[in-house]
Amino acid sequence: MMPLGISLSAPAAVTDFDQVLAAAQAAEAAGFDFLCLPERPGLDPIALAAALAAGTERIGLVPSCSAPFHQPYNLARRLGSIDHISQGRFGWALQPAPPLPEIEHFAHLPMPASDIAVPRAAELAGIVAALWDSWDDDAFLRDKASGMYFDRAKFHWLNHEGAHYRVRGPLDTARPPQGRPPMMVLGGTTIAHDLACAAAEILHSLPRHLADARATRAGLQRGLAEQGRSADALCILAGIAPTSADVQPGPLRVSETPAMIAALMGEWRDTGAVDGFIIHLSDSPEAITQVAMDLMPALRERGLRDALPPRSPLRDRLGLHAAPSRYAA
Amino acid sequence: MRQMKLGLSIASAGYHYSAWCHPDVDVRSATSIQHHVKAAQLAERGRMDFVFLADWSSILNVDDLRIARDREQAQVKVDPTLAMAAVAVVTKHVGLMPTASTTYWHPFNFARRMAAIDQLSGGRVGWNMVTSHGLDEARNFGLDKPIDSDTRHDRAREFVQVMRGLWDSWDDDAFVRDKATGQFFRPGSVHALNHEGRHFKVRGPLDMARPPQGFLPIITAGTSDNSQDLAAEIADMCYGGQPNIEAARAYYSSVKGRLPKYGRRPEDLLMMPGIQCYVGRTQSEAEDKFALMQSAMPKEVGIGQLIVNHFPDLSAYGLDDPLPDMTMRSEFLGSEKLGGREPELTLALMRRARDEKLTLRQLFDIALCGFWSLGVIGTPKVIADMMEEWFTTGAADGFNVQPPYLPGGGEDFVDLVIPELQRRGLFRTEYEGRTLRENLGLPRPASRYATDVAEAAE
Ligand SMILES: Cc1cc2nc3c(=O)[nH]c(=O)nc-3n(C[C@H](O)[C@H](O)[C@H](O)COP(=O)(O)O)c2cc1C
Repeated sequence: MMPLGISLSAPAAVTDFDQVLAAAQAAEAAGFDFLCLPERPGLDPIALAAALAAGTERIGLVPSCSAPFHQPYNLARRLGSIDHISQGRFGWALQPAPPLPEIEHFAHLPMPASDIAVPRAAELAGIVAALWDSWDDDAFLRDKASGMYFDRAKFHWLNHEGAHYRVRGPLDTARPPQGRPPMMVLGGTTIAHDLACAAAEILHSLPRHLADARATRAGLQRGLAEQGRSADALCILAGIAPTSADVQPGPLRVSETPAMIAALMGEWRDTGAVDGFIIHLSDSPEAITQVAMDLMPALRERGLRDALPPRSPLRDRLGLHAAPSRYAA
Repeated sequence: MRQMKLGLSIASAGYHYSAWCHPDVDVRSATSIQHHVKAAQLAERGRMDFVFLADWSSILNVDDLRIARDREQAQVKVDPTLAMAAVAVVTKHVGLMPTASTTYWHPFNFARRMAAIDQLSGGRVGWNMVTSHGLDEARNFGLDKPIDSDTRHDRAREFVQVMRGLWDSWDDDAFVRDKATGQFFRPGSVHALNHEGRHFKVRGPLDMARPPQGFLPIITAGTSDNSQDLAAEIADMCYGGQPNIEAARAYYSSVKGRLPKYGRRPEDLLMMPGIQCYVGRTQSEAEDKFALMQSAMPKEVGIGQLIVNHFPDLSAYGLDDPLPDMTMRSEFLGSEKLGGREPELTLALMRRARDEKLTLRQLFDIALCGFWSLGVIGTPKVIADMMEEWFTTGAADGFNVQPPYLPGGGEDFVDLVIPELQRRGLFRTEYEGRTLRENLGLPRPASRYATDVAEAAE
């Protein structure tokens, strides 16, 4: 299957939770794999993701967060909690360097200079993933008969001492249902691509045309190889938007008929330029339903989508390999 | 007539350290959102003011092998702010009171996240403010030991100032959203904070409308002068852990006596002791419930909890052996102070064990219910009598109910004790308002920028 997500990208602030919930439910009913919740003014995307998890059943939820504003321990615990709350439907997008106005709310914190933003964000992401492995999948016996809740041999102190962070661990949350909820990076800049190659499993790319998408993939494959990662370790999803959609700039605008959009998607995917797509739409449930009604039948006809995708962890829906613990034998 | 406020505290599967071993309890409660949702719906059915989630950002002294943490349930949990965001979507009335630390959060992130939860819950979020004194926590945030009490409390005070300032960023009537004129917000209705203090430098404004409650209700706990002063200065409720009415009255008047110093009236702060109940239709039914819970507890758990409270290691003794003369241990045990327990109580319990020639089992029975904090085993009448006495004689304005196991222990309280309190007129039969503030009887604070205070105070 070709992974297909929605990004709620209206240029306005997010003020109405009921509307976002309706949009998430519409995207779920239409069979999309996941919903991206970008950093925008208004309702905090991490709180939104937790709340939406309670109001949906199948769709993946991918909020954004800015690296310098988060402590790795807190971040691991909060994001891991959403994977528990959503039962394995969680992913997250990490922004290595936030835009300037945001920084001024955190003005007493040392902000990373641009040349260390990526290593620092990569260290943060590495700690988060390591903390998630604090408890083995079978650490919790929860056996009333013996009275044993967990096995002391099956948790791990992290004792991380890096260039930017010191964290002892272990995390006070069980390993997330997905083991490692996938991390996304929003592409388009060199630092984002560097971070993606170092630590991400999804790249939300913003190509301008097919040749651009191909070139991006080739560059990323070199970057992945340099990091000792396999070419399929990173799922590349291109952002597109219908011309009529009222969304923030960035995604490729597509104005053709549903059949032509489906053909374009098929071509991009079959030539290996991308693995799938993220459609940028406003936060309107009607717009989501309309796009789905137009597009899904054409994609099914081309064998790019199933009628109704199975209820499964986000990693599976994205075609990512299982993520065993680093401590697994 | 003055009525009491009631919270329902969800501590994983309940307050008993072996709650998860109770035959009726789901062993996965600690990380199950369905468990949290069910508990919140139960509180809502009982018209309780809020559900409460205690929290600390670490495991607790798991490296001390004398404490049977591997037989307890509390090492893994879900983040309480996010659990409450999820619970908000499937409840309508009940308040949501997660714990969060002023030492390990940043006020901008926290203000923004809590404003979002207030918004999406329709004004039902509150905050159990803690300053985090645990060693295990400090070591998760790059520190070798906890920050000293003065600095923690100073930071907490500034944290709340920043947060209040950020929540006031936009006037209540800022957003006109007038399609005809194209005007979205009134000019002059947004305020940058430009805060520069000892701990934080935050420009603001917050990027969202003033939340439904204006500011979230704060509950806090602690017995030191620093924590009592902080409660008196900024909290709306104070969570207490006193085991008997004399101690609770002393704490009540000590905290309330500090309010005038901060220009506040004694009724501006509600005192909310914790209460753990085993409820039965008859006294013997209640005692059977306690006995069943105790019998599910492995001996190692009881021994470990005594060690946490400065007892010597009693693992060499059988359950029905008489105990030796005991003296208090003094070495530092990491996070052992969580709960703010007094060493004097430990000494008193040791004396009692000697005078009454208690066996280990008897010591467990005393220590596991009602010794370090308020606990009652009894009929709805016995429990309501006690709550009424505390409520009417200067020991409590309400209670944070700590069910020993969930959902059963909580259902017993809601189905048996609450109707008795309602019959006596001590507790509401319907929610009075829509927001947590309204139900707690707290006025909505006017924005610091409001010129006409009467108009802003809804
Ligand atoms: C009833 C009660 C509940 C508490 N719950 C928590 C909690 O959930 N998380 C936490 O970090 N501290 C908790 N504490 C600790 C207090 O926040 C406070 O830090 C502690 O009592 C030490 O007091 P001091 O700071 O005044 O010395 C609790 C204390 C009491 C008395």
